Amino acid sequence: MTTHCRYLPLLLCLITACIRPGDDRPSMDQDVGVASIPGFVVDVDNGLAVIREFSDTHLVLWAEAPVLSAVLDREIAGPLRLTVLNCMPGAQLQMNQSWYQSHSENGVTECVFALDLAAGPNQITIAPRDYESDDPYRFAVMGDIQTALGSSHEVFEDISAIPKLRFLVCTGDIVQDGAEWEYELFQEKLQSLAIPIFTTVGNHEVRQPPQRWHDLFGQFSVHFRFKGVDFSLVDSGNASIDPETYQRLAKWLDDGRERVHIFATHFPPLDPIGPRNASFRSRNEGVKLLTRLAEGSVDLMLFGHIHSYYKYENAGIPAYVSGGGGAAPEQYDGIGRHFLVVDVDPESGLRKVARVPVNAR
Amino acid sequence: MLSALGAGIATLGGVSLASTGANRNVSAVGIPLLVSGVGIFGISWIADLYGSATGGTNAGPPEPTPVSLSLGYGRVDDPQFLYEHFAVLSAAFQFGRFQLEPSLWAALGADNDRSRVAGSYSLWKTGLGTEVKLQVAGTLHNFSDEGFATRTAESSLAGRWNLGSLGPRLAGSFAVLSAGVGYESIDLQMAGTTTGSSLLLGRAGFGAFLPGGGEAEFHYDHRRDTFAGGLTPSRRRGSGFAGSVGVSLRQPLGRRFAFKLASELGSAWVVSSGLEVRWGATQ
Repeated sequence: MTTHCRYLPLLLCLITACIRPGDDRPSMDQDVGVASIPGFVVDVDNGLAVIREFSDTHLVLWAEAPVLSAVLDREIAGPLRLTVLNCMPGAQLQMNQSWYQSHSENGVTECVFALDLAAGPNQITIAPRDYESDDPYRFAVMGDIQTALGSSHEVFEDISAIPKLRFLVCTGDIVQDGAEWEYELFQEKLQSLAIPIFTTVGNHEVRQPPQRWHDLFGQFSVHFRFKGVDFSLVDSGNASIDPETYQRLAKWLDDGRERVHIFATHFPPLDPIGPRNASFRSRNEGVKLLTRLAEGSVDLMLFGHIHSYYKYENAGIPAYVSGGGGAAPEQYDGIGRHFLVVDVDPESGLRKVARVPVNAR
Repeated sequence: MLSALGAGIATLGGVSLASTGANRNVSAVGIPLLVSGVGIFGISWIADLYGSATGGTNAGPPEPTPVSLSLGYGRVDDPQFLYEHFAVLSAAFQFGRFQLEPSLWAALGADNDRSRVAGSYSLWKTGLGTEVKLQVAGTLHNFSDEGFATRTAESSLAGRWNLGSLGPRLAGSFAVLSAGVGYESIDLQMAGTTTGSSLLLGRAGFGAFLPGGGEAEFHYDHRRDTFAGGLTPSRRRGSGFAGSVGVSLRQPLGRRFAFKLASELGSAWVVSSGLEVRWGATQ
């Protein structure tokens, strides 16, 4: 009996892992962008940036969205050097009715601001100058780099060569095993990308404990609005979306119902090739997600995981699988390494989605 | 021998998938090969364990029951949905080579019900519990709480073998293997739109006959459209490919009644039990 009891916790653990395998990540999302040291509190709105370094005089953020707002509440007035990594090129900082220009020597997606904080709360906004206008714009989409990380600069260079792209949305699997060296290499490769990348996780990032991703890139599921278009990048790293994340998604869908809304996650809820079933672990959950996205009037669904390109419709919504970041590709499909360029108009919705092959080098 | 056959088929399926990056056309063949190969390998492995542990038993296959009705309770532990408790009704009718099995799972305290009718025709049958049959089934699953419903039509070829015919050490055991295809029509009622998806069916199991006409079975089911969904082997790896695993037990309690117990583990944990009333049974 004692021997059998010894295995009971293991069995319960297995069942828990089966039923809510990603239940640790939504709670971690809640504490992104908030930090304090004696006399100084930083609070980034909606956790849209992770705080990488923090001292009395220097703050380093990694942005998860094109527009950041934060409160810097310091007891003592004085200078602060604020560095924003993964920043929109040309972004400016507004504080106390004043605009600050960025200066950096380390590439266009690193913004550095020399601020003079007043004592008490300082409300700041970091954004490109046109962030409140509703004119059309374009962004890129990619996913599934994995074992091709060493040559990922080729994709990034091609993306950077596309005119007028504002940012890159990634559906996850930027690494193969989630090892520390992979994330270091990934960030090195980003030096060849001229725009910021906003990404959720895939099944390969979650191979390691989630703290590593969390410390570097922040929230696993993120929602932001840019120039009148809503983006929801949702964590389906375990081929499922955690119930807590569904609650957040419900709010995002509700808030964005009247606007153009773009949804991205790693796993397709249903594989366009049904028998292959490279999709959510439960078909019923996949349909539940589609129902909610359709009810929420989502305009575009973007997925990865399948290392090819599929254009189809899900619940009447245009859907694209684009897993062309370089991971072991689907063979004999005539696709190859690629990314997507999406033209979107906040007034009329989705204008165009184009697949762009990555040039052989 | 059976292990080598299973390993060979699984390797063939695995290599075809790996070498083509799970190509859209190849995967329709590669995945069934992989699943059935692993299934055969797994059956032979468990059969070895069974033979070593029991040396074979005298228990034989249950006598067929022409008519049975059962009423029971089901519990589905799935944090994705509101339902948890179910009333479970099922019946089985046997007419010669034909069998008809309607069933209903109706949620208590939630608006969800799953009704299914499965029919089969026995293509080949021995009196020793070995049988190959063609199955067709239709399932209607209403997720009214969520605003959608699914309708599934499916067809499969299913085999069940009394492994006692392979040797005395396997006497009292059996294996099941099935493969098929289906189509799921999805009605997104709240959104006022429909969509659909085809699906692959595959099931492998190993079981033992129990004294008194009962039987117990352990199985793997590759489909992911049931209450159980698909298994996540660990928090870190393996989500989004496997189906569910399950165990079931059916034990007659005299000529008129039988007790049933089943459990499946996938993305949800499903447990059900029920009492079966039988007519025309001889044991």
